[in-house]
Amino acid sequence: MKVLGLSSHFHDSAAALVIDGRPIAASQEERFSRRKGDSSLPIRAASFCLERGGIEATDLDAVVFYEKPFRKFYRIVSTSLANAPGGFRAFKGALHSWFESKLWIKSEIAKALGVPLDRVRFSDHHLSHAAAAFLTHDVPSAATLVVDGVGEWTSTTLGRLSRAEGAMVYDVFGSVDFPHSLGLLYSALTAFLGFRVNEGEYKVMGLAPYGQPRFVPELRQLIRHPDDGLFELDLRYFSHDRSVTRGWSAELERLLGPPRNPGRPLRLGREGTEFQRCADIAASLQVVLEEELLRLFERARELTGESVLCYAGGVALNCVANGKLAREGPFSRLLIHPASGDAGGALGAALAYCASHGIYRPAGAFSPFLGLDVSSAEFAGLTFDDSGSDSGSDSFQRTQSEDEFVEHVAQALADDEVVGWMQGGAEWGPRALGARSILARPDSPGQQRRLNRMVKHREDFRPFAPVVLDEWAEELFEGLCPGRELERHMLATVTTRKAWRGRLAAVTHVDGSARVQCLRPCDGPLLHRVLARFHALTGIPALVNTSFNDAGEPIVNSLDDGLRSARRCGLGLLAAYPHLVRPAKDPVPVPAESATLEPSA
Amino acid sequence: MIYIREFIAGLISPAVVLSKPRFSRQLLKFAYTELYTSYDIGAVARRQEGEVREAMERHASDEGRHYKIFKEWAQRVAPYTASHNNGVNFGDPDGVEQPDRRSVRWSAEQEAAPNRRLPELGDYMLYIFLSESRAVIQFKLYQWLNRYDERCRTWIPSVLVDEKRHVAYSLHYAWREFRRAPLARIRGAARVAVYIARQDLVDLSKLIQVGGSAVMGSLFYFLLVTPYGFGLRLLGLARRDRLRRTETDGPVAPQRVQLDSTYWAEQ
Repeated sequence: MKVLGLSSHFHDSAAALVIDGRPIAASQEERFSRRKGDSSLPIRAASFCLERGGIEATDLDAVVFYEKPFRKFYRIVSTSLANAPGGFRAFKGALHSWFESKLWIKSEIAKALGVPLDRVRFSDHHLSHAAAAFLTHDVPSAATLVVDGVGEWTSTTLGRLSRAEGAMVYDVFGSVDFPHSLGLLYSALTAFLGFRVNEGEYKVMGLAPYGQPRFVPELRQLIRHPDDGLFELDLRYFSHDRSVTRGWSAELERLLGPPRNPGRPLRLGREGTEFQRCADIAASLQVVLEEELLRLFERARELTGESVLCYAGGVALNCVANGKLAREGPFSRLLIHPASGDAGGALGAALAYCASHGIYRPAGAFSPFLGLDVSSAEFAGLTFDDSGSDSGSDSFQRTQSEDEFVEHVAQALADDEVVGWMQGGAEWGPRALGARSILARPDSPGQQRRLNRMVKHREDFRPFAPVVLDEWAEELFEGLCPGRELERHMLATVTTRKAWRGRLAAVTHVDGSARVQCLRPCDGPLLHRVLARFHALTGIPALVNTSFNDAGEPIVNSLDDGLRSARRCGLGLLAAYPHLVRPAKDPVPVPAESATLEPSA
Repeated sequence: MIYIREFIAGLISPAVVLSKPRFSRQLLKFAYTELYTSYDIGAVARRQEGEVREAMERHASDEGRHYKIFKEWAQRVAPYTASHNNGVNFGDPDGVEQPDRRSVRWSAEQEAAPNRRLPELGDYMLYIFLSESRAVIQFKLYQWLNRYDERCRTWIPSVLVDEKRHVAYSLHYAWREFRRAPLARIRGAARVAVYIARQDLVDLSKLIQVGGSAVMGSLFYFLLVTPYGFGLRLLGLARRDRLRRTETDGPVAPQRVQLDSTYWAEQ
């Protein structure tokens, strides 16, 4: 059975191809279109998936869209009725975009891909999320908890998925409907703190360790707990159901003070500064979110009786909460899909469709390297040849063996060079897992500031993550999750052991935490070898691993993207086996989102 | 004909400048247009050599600087609008303007990017000349009609100086290319005219679409949705905090979702 899953028209559109239950290819559209958060119909990503699968669109048994648009439209109409005449602007905007394309998505997909209308199918938003987590792990049944902004109607769904002989079984135990939503609570406060919604949430998470949770009592007032053991928002403080541009009300400003002016730089500051107030709100939000999630975890355990939880939705990308919940929560195993946001819904929808026909992914670890491959052929099409000559002022070298390549890269890293790393298929999901990464030495003085300012052109407070040899993880970090399942895909934070904090200064946050990736040889054999060689040269079995992109840019996909980004970021070396490129500085200064002008964007 | 659009936009600019959110969005549009122009010209510059390349690189660099000027200006006029009215998504992103998308025709990554549609230097230079001279008209009107606004009075001239230089250099190279191959360039000019007319038609159709749906949407909302919503609320059938009642409200037995063909067909 050949199934293409699609997510689009919201944010982070994506396509994923599943053949006989096995994920073959998956990618976000933004990787191809080079527009961050691209929400358009993922035609380029779908074409890539079909090409990788060696099939035509007409060979597909089904194209499954990750949610049910009519149900969503019903919710929007209901919201308008409940709020009229407030929310006119939201209604007007919604009407335009829904009548322009969203209501006709079935025919739009059929036409764009050239498939018959009856092959276009629709999953449920939260089923797509839950299935992505459940069907990419080898468990017979599990509790599922999906927490995000909102799907069709629901913002939180508590259920259970089981593999049965004929078809997968899906039971729903409880749900919370829009406008009550932990995801939208987080988004409202993200905007309140002056960051862009759907993009700035992880900045809020990164800001939290700088603060003290002194606003916890105030933030607890935003949430009520009805008898069903779930939650409700106190809507006096919110306006996300009435406005598409402002998620909070004047009441929230009375509670927390004025929102941060997003036009002003947010610089690391002392007590009493705007930075500190924002950090304190972020820290308080993190505490309250963790409390609510723990409550939901306990409810899920109680209702389902399962010992394994598949946790999904945009909120599941909060790796600080994930680490705590995995360690302190009621489940013995916590499973999260690496693309747990909406993009991952494309794969979840396709897997769920197969599973509903009794076709499951063959047993084995899920590999997230489902994106575009780096190929030597692509090098041939670029602006230099294999002779080692310098054309276009990039200096180019082709190594003769893996050993030579590994030695060069490890030595460059040991010499404190910042290296762009492109290897194999691109990662599925928002984290750089060693296929499209920027690597650097973690112990250089001022490395975090240097990388933020000079390379990634972003705010000083943003932390970096380490990639560590899996066999050394316990030595360097404490609080690792059981089996290091979450750390494998950089989905949880742990604590850097005090003895190592000096040598891991660039990847240890102010509170001693680190969002570590534990690298196993099977997940990146070449990077594992580089890391091992770097360890031999420096005594440090870890590197800085940050996504290979400039501010405001999607993670690089092709070699061409990598070269352009490497020039803009001023990287010392671009490594894509067997090639090594020393990029020239970009001759045309392309304006990046500047940290000084626009720290919040 | 080709300058009518900019002329009208310039004439109505006081109405735009008076509204902070609207002006901020307009400035963002300018910013993204400059940004994508810099990408596009940068892409062409890399294919040139010598003085043409230098001139184009300088042009790209100017546009990059203009992007920052307009972006910062938009932030100062209305920080919230400038930072958040593109991509905000509280449950639904519907209707939210995304300046980068509205200017998507400029994107070098798009197939419709000028440098891909007009690959020959002569055609491209003619296109740049026309685009820049259109911008000059619009900015001049902005400056003239909004003199009371300090930034319009002082910031626009700094942009205008560059734009006038762009007009001059693009005309110089367009003319040089014309002298080299007059017939080919006449055919090229037709291509440029068609390209610009097509862009303008797309923009006009979008304007009609947006305007039409705004009018229809307002009528629908105030004549139908509002009275109906009031009625439902009076009857207690619509509540802001409880938009729908579901079987899963409260502690209940699990509800099995039948993943059958009906389920997958339902939209």
